[in-house]
Amino acid sequence: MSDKLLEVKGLTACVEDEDKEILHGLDLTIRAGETHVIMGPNGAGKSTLGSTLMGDPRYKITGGSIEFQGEDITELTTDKIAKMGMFLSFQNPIEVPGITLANFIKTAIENKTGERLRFWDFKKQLSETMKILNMDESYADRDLNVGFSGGEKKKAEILQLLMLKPAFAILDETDSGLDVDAVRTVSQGIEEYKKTVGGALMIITHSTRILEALDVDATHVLVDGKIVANGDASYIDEINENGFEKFLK
Amino acid sequence: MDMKMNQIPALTWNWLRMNEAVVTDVNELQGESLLEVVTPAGIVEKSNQDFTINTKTGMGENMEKLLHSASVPVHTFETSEQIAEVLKLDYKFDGNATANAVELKVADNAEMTVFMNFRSEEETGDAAVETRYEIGENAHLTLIQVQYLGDKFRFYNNIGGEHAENGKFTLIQLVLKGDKSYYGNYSGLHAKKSELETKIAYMLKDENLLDMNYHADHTGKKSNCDIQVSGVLRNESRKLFRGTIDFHRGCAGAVGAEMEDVLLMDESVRNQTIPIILCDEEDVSGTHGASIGRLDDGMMFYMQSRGIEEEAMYEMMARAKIEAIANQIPNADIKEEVLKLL
Amino acid sequence: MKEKTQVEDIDRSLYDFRFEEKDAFKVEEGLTPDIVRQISKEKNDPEWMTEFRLKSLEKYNEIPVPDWGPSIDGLDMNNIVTYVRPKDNKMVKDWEEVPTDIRDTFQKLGIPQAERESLAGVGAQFDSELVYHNVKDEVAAQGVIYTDLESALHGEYADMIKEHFMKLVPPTDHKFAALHGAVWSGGSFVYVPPGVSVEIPLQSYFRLNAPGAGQFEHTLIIVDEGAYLHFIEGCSAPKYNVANLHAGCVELFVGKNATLRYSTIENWSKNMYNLNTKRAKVEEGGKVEWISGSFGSHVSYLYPMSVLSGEGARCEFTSVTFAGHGQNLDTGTKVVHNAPNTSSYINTRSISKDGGISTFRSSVVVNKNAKGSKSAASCESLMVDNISRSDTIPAMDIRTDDADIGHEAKIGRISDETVFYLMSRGMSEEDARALIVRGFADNVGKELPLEYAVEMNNLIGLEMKGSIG
Repeated sequence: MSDKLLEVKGLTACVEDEDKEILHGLDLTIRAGETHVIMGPNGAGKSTLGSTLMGDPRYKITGGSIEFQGEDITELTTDKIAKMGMFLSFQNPIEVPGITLANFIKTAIENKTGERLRFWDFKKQLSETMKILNMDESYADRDLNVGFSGGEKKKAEILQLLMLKPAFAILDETDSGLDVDAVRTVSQGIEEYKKTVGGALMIITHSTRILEALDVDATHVLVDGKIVANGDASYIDEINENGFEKFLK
Repeated sequence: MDMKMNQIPALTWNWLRMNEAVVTDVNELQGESLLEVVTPAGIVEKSNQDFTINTKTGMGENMEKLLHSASVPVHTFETSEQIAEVLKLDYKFDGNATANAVELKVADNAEMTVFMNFRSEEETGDAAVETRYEIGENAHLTLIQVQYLGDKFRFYNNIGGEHAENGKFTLIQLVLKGDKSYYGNYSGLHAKKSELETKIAYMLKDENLLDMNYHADHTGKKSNCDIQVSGVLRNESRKLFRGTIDFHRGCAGAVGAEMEDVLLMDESVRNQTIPIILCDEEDVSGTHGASIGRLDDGMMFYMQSRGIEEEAMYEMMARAKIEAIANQIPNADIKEEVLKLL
Repeated sequence: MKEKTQVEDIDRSLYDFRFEEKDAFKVEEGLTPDIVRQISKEKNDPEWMTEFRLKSLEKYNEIPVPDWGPSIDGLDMNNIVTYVRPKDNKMVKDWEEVPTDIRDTFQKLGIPQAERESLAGVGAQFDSELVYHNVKDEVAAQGVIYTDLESALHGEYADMIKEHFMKLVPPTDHKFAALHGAVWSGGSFVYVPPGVSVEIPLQSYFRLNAPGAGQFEHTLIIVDEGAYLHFIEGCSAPKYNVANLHAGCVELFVGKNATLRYSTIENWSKNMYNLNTKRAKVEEGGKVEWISGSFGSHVSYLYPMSVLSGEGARCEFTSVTFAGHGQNLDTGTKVVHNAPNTSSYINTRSISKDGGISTFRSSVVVNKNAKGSKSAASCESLMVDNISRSDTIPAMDIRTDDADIGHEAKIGRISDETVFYLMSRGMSEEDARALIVRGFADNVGKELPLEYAVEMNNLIGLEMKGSIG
């Protein structure tokens, strides 16, 4: 079908220098604008899936294919994949000393569009977006993620999501370790992304709090590097009640 | 005669006079000093005319030559088992410029703990000990050395050895008493996952000197070293610590750390430190940290507010530093023996 | 907000252009008493200076080459021309009067423009002599003296020069200090009177154009009680395949409660032996701030030294060294705490790439009388690839109990995780790595005036080009 945004077929992947396979033949299709939820027990390979889609060199693709925007991206480097419109919100955002958050986002946008941004336009847009996320504006001039609290780091990820406007975003445990208020703020950010950009989402999560205001199109259960069950939004509640036991054979 | 020893692997400005130790009026060494040995079952003792282990040493060639010219026998202790009991070497230096030579060999998968107790019968004298070691695959050697010598004693303590894959050397040294002490260790971390763990504590007073040179030579992949030095300087004592983490190309994944902590207790002490990291391998992580000074004002105020006097506080802190290292001695009897000396 | 992360290309030819000077006056190659006498005569030295030069030459011949640093075997003094005077040389105060070729050179380097926009005064040296020196009227009106050292030697400040010249760095200090004493030429003299704060920086720019030549400028700055000055030093040279030599000397006298900030972006060409000596003496309550970026030269020996000689004197040393292909850069700092309650703060970054060798070398000496002193040092090294080398050799000699000394050193590589994170936002690997290195060097970047920070980032970008094997 032509509206397939992401199509993963029989994907196997292992850790680059250890030859230990983590994904064992995984299939997944996501269409433009859809919201998919990936659930699964610890160590199932959920984060590995997110990183592998994004072309993380720490994982080696040993079989299968990933098509994104109708193009095979298995051999592409991370930056090319990002420029094609994929975004990964990191579970543990990396601290980058010496580079301010604002400059980083500006550079990333300019890299993507190939055009210079006018300073005041950018500044205005950034400050408006930060408001949505209840972020203190002083964070713009602080070094990227350096000394940010867990909550501020996640907000900075969502800020990048809203500024970069990708067609497809992977949110890796974006809600983990956050208090109720922070989860609400982050959720607002995700809603804003849906509303203004209308992109597709792949949400890796343990909890339902972040999903409350979203229309989930499909839920996938990932166990031991494979998708073992697919369902609709109602699946989430079921898993929350009964856990993963019935999938662990 | 004058002699240079303890030279660092990479030199710096000569005017600092820290590149090496220049020892004046070095006496020629003659004959072995008394050594009482308690050998647990499973450890074999041999006596050779010369060293059978080929290695560099921390204090370097000049010191090796000085010791070898005394032509003393080399006592070799070997094991191929995991020995829980401690090999005890009790040195009683008689003060007549003596030399002792020891080799410690731990075969693959074996373990050995050695306790060297350096004591002197006289207040004055010279003594030198050279210890070479060889650690097999997955083997572990623990060497505990405690120096408690006469107040005018000069002591040279030279160590060097080689590690096989996953071979580990734990070196615990306590310098408690003696006048001029020269210490050196060289560890050849040439095999994969070989490991060096060094913990040194010292307490110097009067015009004591402790001059050290420690060299961790990394060529093995994922090799590891951790060197911790902690001590107290009083009166007019002086300490010079040279520590080198030497990462060579090919030691990918190697990690090295040096940490120094010095408590300065009197106006005329002198503390010299030169912590070197040499590196021509990309995939390594090396760190050095030093903290040198008096007791923290906030801590002083806190303790004073609890009624502890300044003098007592320093005593307590000094003791605590030595105890912290002594407490890491794995053998309970030896630990107790050492703590008694404090 | 500063624009510091742009990834832009700059052309190496920005620094590499050169022209042939047929009409320049040169002494013969090598170093003999006759050559030294000739230089002295050409420069119309006072008698004491001629004597000083000849004595320095004797010292030069006595003192051995250092046995602890990078090799300087490729430097043969018999092939070095120690004095090159540009044609029709006279120092002027108007760029229009500078000979065309030379003016073009400085224009390409952006010096006249920078002077108009953001500097209080500029001195420009071409080979051995100053070709331009000017200071803004309003700054001169405050009593600030900014001129070439030669004029100062003959003018009303002659006694002040004689009193200070090579007193802080005596020719006996080391072999290349002695060499400097023998053949020095050019450089600037600055005097800031008590209480005067020079709000915008002064800059001297040193350009070595002649192949096989040496540059030996002497910078002497006296900042009197309570005064403030920011002085910027720039240097560059086109690349030749013969060795060039730079053995300059900088002597800074920071008066009671005065502050001097001394910034350098060094970008010598990669055939240069940079054997430079910089030293500051800081009086009671005064402060010296060194900001130093070392990018160029084949071999460098550079350790700006702070002598804290008055109570409460302070120094800050912030530096970045980037050693690329064919470079052996031995840099660092020396601090002597010689009075009570003095403090030193050292923050350095070294980057090694493409077979380059960078060594951080330092000494912190706290003397017996320096009670209540503090010193904190943090030095980090970054290995960009697997064929380079980075050494850290810090020494501390603490001779009092009443001192608080902290030291941290760290060495590592660019983390793969960080590269992946940046690439996931659309940056190429090359740009990601360049960005990380720029961030690493930001300790210096954020201390520099904007234009210089941009120049430094461009240099890093240039060095990081093609860094992915």
